[in-house]
Amino acid sequence: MSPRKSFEQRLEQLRSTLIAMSELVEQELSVAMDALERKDVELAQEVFAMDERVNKLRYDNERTALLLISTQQPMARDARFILASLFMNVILERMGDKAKSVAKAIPYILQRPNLTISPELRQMAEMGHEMLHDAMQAYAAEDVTLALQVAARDDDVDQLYGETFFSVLARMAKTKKPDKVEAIYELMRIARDLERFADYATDLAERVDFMVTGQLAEVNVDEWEEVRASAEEERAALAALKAARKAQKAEAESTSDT
Amino acid sequence: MADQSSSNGHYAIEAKNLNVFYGDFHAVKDVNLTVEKNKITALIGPSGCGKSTVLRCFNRMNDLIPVARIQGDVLFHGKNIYDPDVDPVQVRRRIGMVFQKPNPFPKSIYDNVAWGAKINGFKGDLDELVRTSLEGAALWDEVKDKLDANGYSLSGGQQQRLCIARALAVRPDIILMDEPTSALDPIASLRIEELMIQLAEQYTIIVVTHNMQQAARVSDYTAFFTVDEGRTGYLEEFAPTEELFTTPRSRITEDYITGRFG
Repeated sequence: MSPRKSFEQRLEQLRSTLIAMSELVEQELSVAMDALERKDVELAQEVFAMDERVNKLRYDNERTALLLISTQQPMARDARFILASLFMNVILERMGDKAKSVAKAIPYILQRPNLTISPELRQMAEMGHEMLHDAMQAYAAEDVTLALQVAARDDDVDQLYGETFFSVLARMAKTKKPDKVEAIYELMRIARDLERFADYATDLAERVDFMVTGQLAEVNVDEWEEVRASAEEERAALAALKAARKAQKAEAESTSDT
Repeated sequence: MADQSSSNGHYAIEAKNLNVFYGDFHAVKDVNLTVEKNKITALIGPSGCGKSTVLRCFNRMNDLIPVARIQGDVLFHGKNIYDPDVDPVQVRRRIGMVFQKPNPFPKSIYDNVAWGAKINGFKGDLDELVRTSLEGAALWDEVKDKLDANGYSLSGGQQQRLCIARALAVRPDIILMDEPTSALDPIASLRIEELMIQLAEQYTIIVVTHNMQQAARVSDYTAFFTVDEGRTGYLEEFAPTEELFTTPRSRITEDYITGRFG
C-alpha cells in the first residue's frame, strides 16, 4: 500500500480531467472546421456549448489544484506535475477559445455563400489537432521525446500559415466586390487562429518537458529570427502583389489603347 | 449505553455549549461542534487552546482528572453522555481512544487485540476478531506469523497500528485519536494517515493534531481552536477542511494556517 494512496488518487483525478478537457478541445476544433466547410450555423453554435464545458472544466481543475496545494504539501515531481497541469489548463482553455473563434466567423462568411474555403485551413487545423493530441499523449505518458517532436512541428504550421496568409491576401486584393472583402478577411483571421492553436500546442509540450525534467525553458527559442524572416517575407509578397497589380493595370491600359 | 433515537442521525456526536474548568481555570468555553458520521474531523490550534481537552470530553476521559469540571452537553445518539445514568465505561467502549504514544500492553500481539473483547465478555470467535481487527488496522500481513510475539517487539508505527487494532476489536462507533503520529517517523505517519482514511468508511474519527498539514491531508472537517486574552480556549472556526485551508472565513484562522501566529 502506498502511504499516499488518496493523494495519488487526487493527482490522477487532475490528470484525467485535464485529458478529458483536451479531448473536448480537439472535438471543438473538429466541429468548428466541419461547420466552416459546410457553412453550417447550427453546428457552429454547438462549438459555443462545447466551449462552455471546457471553461467549466478549467475552473474544476483550478479548484482541484488549489486543494492539492493547500492540503497535500506536494513536493518535487508532484509539485511540478500540479504546476504544469495548471499552466496547461489555462492553455487548453485558450485553445478552446481559438476553436470558438473559428465558429464565430461562420455567420460573416455566410454572407458570401459561394466563398471558397481555402483547403490549407483544413490542413492547418489537422496539424494543430494532431499536435494537441500528441502533446497530451506526452503528458499522460510523461514522454519528453514525444513532447519535443510536437514542438518541432510548429514550424510546419507557421510555414503553412504564411502561404495561406498570402493566398488569402491575394484573393482579397483581386476581388472587385468590396462586400466580399469582409468574408475573405474572416478566412485570414481563421488562419491566424489556427496558427495560434498550434503555438499553444507547443506551449503544452514545453510544460510536459518541465513536468518531467524540471527544465524551465522555451523549446522554440529563435523567435526573433522567425519574426524578422516572416516580416521580410511579407514585405516581399506585398511588393510582388503591387508589381502584379501595376502590370495588370498597364496591360489593361495598353489593351484599351489598341 | 443504550442507543437512543436521534433527531440528527447524520451526526456521530455533538458538543453543545461545552465548557471545561480545571479548578478555577476556565480551560474551554462555549464549544458547539457537530461531528459528522463516517468522516474524519481534525481539531487543530496552538498549544493550550483546549483541543485535547475537548477530545477527552467526547469519551469522558476528563473524569479521570479530579479537578476537571464539565458544563454543557455532549450528545451521543441523542443522549448526553454526562447524564448521571450513563456509565462512563460503556461510553469508552463505544467511543475508543488512540493515544499520542503507542501504548501496547506487555503481552503478545494476539492478547493486545483480544484483551478488550475478553473483558467485555465477547462470546464469538476470538481468532476471527483478532484477524479482522488487525486487518482493519492494516497490520495483519506484517504480524500474522508472529501473533505470539510481544507487542513491544514491533516498530513504533506498527505498535500504533496495534493500538488501533485494539481499539477496533471492541467495535466502537467513534475513534478518538490524540496526536496519533507525533511519535512516529514521516513514512510511518503517512501510513497511519492512509489507514485513517480507510477506517473512516466504517468509523467516525476525531483527531487532535498539532501538525496542521496532517489535518489538511486527511480530514474532511477541521475545527480550529485558539485562546482569548484570559488563555481560555474556544472554537474560532469549524468548516469542511477544503474550505478552511483554502478560503477560511476568519482572519485569525488564516493567520494561524499561514504561519503568522501560534
